[in-house]
Amino acid sequence: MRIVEADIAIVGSGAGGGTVAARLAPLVARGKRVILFEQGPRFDYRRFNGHELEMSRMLYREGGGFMVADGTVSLAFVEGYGGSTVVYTGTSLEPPARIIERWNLPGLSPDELVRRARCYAQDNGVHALPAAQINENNRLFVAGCRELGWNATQFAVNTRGCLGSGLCNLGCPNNAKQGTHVVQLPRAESRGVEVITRARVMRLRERRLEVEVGLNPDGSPGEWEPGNYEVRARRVILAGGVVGSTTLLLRSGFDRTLPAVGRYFTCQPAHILVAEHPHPVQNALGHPKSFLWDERIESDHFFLETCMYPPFITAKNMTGFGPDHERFLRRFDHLQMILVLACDEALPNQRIVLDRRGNPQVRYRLDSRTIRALVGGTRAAAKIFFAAGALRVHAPSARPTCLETDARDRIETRIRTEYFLPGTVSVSAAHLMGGCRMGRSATDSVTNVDGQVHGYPWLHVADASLFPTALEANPYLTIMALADRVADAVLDKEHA
Amino acid sequence: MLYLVSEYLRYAINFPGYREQQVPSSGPLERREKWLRPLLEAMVPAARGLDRQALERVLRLSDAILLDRPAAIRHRAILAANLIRSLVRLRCGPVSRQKAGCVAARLARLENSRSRNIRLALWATRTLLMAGYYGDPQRQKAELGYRPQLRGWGGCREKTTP
Repeated sequence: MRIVEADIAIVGSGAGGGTVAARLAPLVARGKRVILFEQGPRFDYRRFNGHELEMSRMLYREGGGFMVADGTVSLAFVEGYGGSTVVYTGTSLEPPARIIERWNLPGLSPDELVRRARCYAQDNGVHALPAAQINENNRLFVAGCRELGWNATQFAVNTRGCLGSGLCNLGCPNNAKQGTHVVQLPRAESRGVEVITRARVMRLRERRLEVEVGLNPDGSPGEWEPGNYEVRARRVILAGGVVGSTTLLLRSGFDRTLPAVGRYFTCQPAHILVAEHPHPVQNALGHPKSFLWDERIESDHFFLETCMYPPFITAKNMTGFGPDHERFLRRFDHLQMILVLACDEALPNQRIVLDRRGNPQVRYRLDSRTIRALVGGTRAAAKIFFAAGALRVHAPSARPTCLETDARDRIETRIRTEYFLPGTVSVSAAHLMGGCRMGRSATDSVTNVDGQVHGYPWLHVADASLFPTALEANPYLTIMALADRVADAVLDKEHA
Repeated sequence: MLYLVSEYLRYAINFPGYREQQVPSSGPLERREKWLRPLLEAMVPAARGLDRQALERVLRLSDAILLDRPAAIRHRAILAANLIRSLVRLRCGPVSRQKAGCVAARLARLENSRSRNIRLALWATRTLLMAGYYGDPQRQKAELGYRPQLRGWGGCREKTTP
């Protein structure tokens, strides 16, 4: 085993890891060695060809089909340079004040997080797309909401030079999306931070990491020779994402002193809903996610977003099979799509554990509140579809699942909670949160408000696993703001 | 019940056509076609028009997804497919001899089964088969009119501009 000395080791390169790396990069000029370990490879955006099966296999852990233990929800996250910022739609929402206030953490104010988030919004090119670049799928959503007297809000997105390929979730083929793989990580590397890809951190000891370095997918060596390394670092910052950071702490036995490790996992489970219009709908071109509707988020715990997914992902996420199912797919260029997201509760028994081989297993169950939220969101989406002029709507929690226009006045009775069968209805999630939650004490949290692990002054966490509850919004900017805060705490210690 | 258990174990142990760590060769694929074709046709009625070569392509795409997964997931997916096969067979006889309509009716019942494990087994089988069918770029373009436009609006305009 080779031994490497470093001052700071960062694990993970997504929204959290990339942010911390860029913030700590000036330390290199002061003679410090900062190394970032990323489990996945570097991606070449010129290889992003938009083919869903090929890209899913290349980019996502288990092809995007990482299932929770009971098989009812699939989780999508990326292992690679830039983490999930490579594949998200770039939607950039400021930290919601009501959630930050609900967290009730001393020293963490909504104003401060928003201020930090705005810095990253500016840095990463966040802006609202002009009207000319909004495609028809999004315009129908706005029209449907307006018809119902509801107020759809436009998302700001972090693109520069977006050509509207609509392939955000499969890797932008034009490198327009300003994730950490485009902004923060190259900046950190240019200032001397060493980024080692294909480097899997297996265990964490007192200021020591056991790292396995592998070959690139094409068989070529990466930045370091393949093999086992012991990395000795004065400080360690975990930013491997909810599953990555939590798994590493569990595998290293931190749950013996910190019983909250892995607990309070949330993921904002989501449904993809489709509706057929009598005319072609421009859905595959243009940014897929430009609007949301969240007026019932506090009362009914759901929000709606526009979306567009390629054929297999759409087919998989619709419920059922046979002629009705097929008819929607055959009219793919006539489809409007809406994503329903539920705000799930952070509960101690919704958790990440290790299986017998030391691999992560997510023990998560769709509880009754989440199911009610998904069903409520489905009803709202069906109303928007019909108000926008749809001929028929696919509703997973209706029997039969296809609603024709004559059902538009009976949506409440046709779409029902008792028709929602876990295991039959497809549910997926990409907003993974919790597992290393911030809090006041080691009894019910893993870190303090600065992301420092309770009882371990050399160890910090800087990713979405810090969230004490679901954010009830797209989390990317909030992750960056929190990671920025963690970086400040680390810099303070370094300066001291 | 005993029959169901014995059938299930028989298929679980000897699951024809699938071997871990091995891309299925033409031999096992031939055997699987007989029972996977009726399942696919029940789920995607348009698959009735597939010739043998096209069906092979569907199954190979499904295999490719499965072989990417950890061994435990792969094993569970294979068990799921064989459980569904056994449950259809229990009601209707050998799957390969059934008409798609009969299989579809049985599958529809299984989809609403009180057992979550049966529902999950059907979901997994359905997902694999649909990956092979709808995930094929050639079919997406030819039958669904979908093709990724890498250059976005510009690429589309270039194509439509004489």
